[in-house]
Amino acid sequence: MNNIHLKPTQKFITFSKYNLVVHQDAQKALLIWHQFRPRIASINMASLDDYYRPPLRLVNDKNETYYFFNEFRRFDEILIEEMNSRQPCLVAAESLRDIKRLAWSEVVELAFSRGINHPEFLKALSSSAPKSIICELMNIERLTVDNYCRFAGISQSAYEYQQCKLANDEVMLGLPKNLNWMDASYGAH
Amino acid sequence: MGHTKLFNDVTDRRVLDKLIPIDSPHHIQMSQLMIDVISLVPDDDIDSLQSTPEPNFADFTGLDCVDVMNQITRQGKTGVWAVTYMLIVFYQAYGAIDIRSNAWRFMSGYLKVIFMITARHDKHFAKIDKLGVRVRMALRPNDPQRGILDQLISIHAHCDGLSSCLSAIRQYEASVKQGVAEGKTANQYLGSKIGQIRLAYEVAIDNKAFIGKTYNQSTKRVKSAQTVTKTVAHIDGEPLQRIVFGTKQSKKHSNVAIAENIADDDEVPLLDNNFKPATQIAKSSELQQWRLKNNHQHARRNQFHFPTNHRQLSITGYQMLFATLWQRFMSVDKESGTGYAVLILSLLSGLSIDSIIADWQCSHGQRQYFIYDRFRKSSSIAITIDVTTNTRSHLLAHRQSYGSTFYRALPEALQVMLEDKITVSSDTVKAAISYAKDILNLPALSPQYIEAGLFILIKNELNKPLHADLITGVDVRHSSALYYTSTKTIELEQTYIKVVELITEYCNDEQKALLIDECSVPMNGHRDHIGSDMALKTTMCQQFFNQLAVSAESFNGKLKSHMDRYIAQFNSYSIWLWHIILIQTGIRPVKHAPGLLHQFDFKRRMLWVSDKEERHAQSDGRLIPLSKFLITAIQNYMTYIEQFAAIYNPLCPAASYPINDILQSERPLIQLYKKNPKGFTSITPSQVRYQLQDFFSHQDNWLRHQLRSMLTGRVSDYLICALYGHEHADQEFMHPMSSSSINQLHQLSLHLDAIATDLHLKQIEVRIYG
Repeated sequence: MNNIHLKPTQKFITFSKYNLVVHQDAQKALLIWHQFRPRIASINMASLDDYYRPPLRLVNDKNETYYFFNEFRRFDEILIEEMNSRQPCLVAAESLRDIKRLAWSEVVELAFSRGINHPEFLKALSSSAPKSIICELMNIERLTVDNYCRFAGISQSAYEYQQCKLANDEVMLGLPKNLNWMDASYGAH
Repeated sequence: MGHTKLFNDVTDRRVLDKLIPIDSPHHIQMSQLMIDVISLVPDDDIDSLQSTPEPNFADFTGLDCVDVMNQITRQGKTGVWAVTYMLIVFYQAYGAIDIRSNAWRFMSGYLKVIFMITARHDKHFAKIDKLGVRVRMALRPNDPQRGILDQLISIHAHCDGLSSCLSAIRQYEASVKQGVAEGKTANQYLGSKIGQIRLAYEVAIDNKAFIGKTYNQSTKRVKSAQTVTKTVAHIDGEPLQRIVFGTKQSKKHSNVAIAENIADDDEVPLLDNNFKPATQIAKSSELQQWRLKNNHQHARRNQFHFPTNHRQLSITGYQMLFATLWQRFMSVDKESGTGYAVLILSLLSGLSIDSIIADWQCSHGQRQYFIYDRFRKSSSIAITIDVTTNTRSHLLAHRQSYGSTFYRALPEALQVMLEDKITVSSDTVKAAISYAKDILNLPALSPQYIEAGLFILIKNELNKPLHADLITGVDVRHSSALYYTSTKTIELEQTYIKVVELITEYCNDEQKALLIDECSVPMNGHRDHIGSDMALKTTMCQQFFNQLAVSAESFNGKLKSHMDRYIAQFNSYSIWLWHIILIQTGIRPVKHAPGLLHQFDFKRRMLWVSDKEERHAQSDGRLIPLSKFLITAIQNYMTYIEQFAAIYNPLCPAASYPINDILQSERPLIQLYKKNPKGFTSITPSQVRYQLQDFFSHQDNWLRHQLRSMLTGRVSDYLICALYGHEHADQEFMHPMSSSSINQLHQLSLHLDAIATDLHLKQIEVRIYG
């Protein structure tokens, strides 16, 4: 642990030259975030001069791999479109607890986004997120529907209304596993 | 029937032990079951078994069916323990033995037949295995043989006694065969299977003797063709043995066109002995090119049928030749007319004079080209395309073609001639040719001119090269187009009538009208398409693509942050795109098809592919026009894979998706995720097969057959051949001396789009977010 620098390093990084991977402690948060990510278009940062782009938080290891753990939306854009441009970054020491906090705060923030399916979202939170961090971030005692609605700023009836509309997940995924579709759809001779 | 009555107990036991051997699983229980089932339905005529007065029905309880079946298959005893196997499968489908169940009443009769055949102790015993197979196969899901079993059960329910069942089975067999012959139903090869069962019943009831199979000449010929020929020649009084090795042994009897060797096929051995040169030498361009050059020169010599070719007559020449021969044929008596008849048959069928003579020498049943129809009492020309037969039982009912034989009518005067088998000497044919030579003042006229006649008329005058190949019976090895096409018979019939009109131009009006009338009798019944056995009906194909699209879209909104669903979505989308590319370009399903991204030029709407072996001195693959539909599909996929990479790669850096390599054309465009070893690999036909495993199975190449069949008739044939790379040597679309322009190729993209519409292809929306 002698290579921990407490002072964050500021530098410009062009990600196409390095590996850019999500931090292990933010993986689950990123997956949940992708499931509920807002569908609205985002602000185009590509034309901004690189000195003025918002700095990105990263940690790194000796293998020239950089790990991100928040600003999921921004990183998604970078991964798709801006791999070849310089990004201002803050490379900081690894504090696992805070990485988790920042990662899950990205997710918790989605409760305020428009069009999110609140019952689904709450279900995903309660099944996959670390309870203590979530409660701490939402500033509540326990993760209940009541507390969640208050945090998200919606009425409980709105929540229940959405719950009724929940489609069931039992539809078939992928290809049929038998040949019945050939006869069913077409009718034998 | 008397002989079957009342065996004594000892015989019964011996027969039972033969059917259900002592070492077979649960053999005591199974033989008791067999006795019980047989005595379920008493039969007055045939009472073979000492039926127990009070049948204490044994049942299948206590048997682990799956375990018994595994035991049978694992030990490879499906033949010896056929009855046990059949009974277990039957029990699984129809449940416990019940006297009121029609299924078990059928089984009672069926087992009785099996028992009686076994009691004969002769070579008929081999039928037992087949009878078991028929029932077992019928009980597999989606098998067309299910129809036979259902029919048998209902026959046994309605008839009392096995003898009346037999006549009902005979009727059923006849009606199935009739339906297939008229093209009313798709040929699912059921006729011969019912025949097996009918024969077994005949053996049991009518006491038929065993007749072994006799092999005719043609099967022998196939065998001997592959061996080495040794001849002894006497040179200067000294005997010298000459050994000729058959070359290209492995491919000699394949029906795949020579031009179809795909790029990654194994190279055919070049040397005719077992000399194995070092790899470097064997793969040296010298040796490779030698064979290709030979093929090429051969093709160039034989495939140019330009009107200026010395080896053919002019159109008028053929018309006059036909009129002269016909006139002469009608005026001489039957015996001296044979020489003329051979020449006329050659002009009307496009077959070589030798094969006409050979066919004429055969009796009706053995003829290959001049088929005699017993119902219509007429002969017709039958040209069979040597397509690969489709034996996938689930596809049989959905094929577009009804067989691969095209029948066409002959003038009645010729039919009369063909009724008896005659040995035609080559002298009479020579005499007929020299008669025409003198009358028409054509000193160079040879059989070769006559044999090429029909082909030249259809190809150069009617401008239908594909029909020319088909109607004149060109071997598929020399015409790739034939191998892939399923053609409308009505169009072929029209072409034939047109060519008859053309060739009879110089006959007198009465003869001409009669000839046209007699040749335009439709002979193909309800067979609306013939040819490739791989092309499916359009509705089936629509349904197939619909299922692929539904599958790829089914993950939308259902990803639920499970990485394996992201991967499943990615794989289904890739599989969908691969099939779309094949149906929209017709490329061969080689490894990594369609190749790298830079092979696509979206601006000029072209794809460059190299999917077949390369010919001497022209090695650049070919250009394929892209349809609008395909361009959109690929561009949508590109957007998707970028999004997919942005989500997948940061999360699973261990087996990353090579998005950069794909975009920079260092790895093929379409990748699939494989579980073992974990990671992405470039798409191959075998992996596609694995992905589709239970959903669908067909030949890898089937979409090529489908597209060829759908394009035929829409666009000029030379363009389709350019798309498929089916051009003859030196007649390539992109040949340096070709007069075609690349813009002509673009006409195809409109038709490809039209086919996309016909197949109800739609752009799919695969969402990775949400």
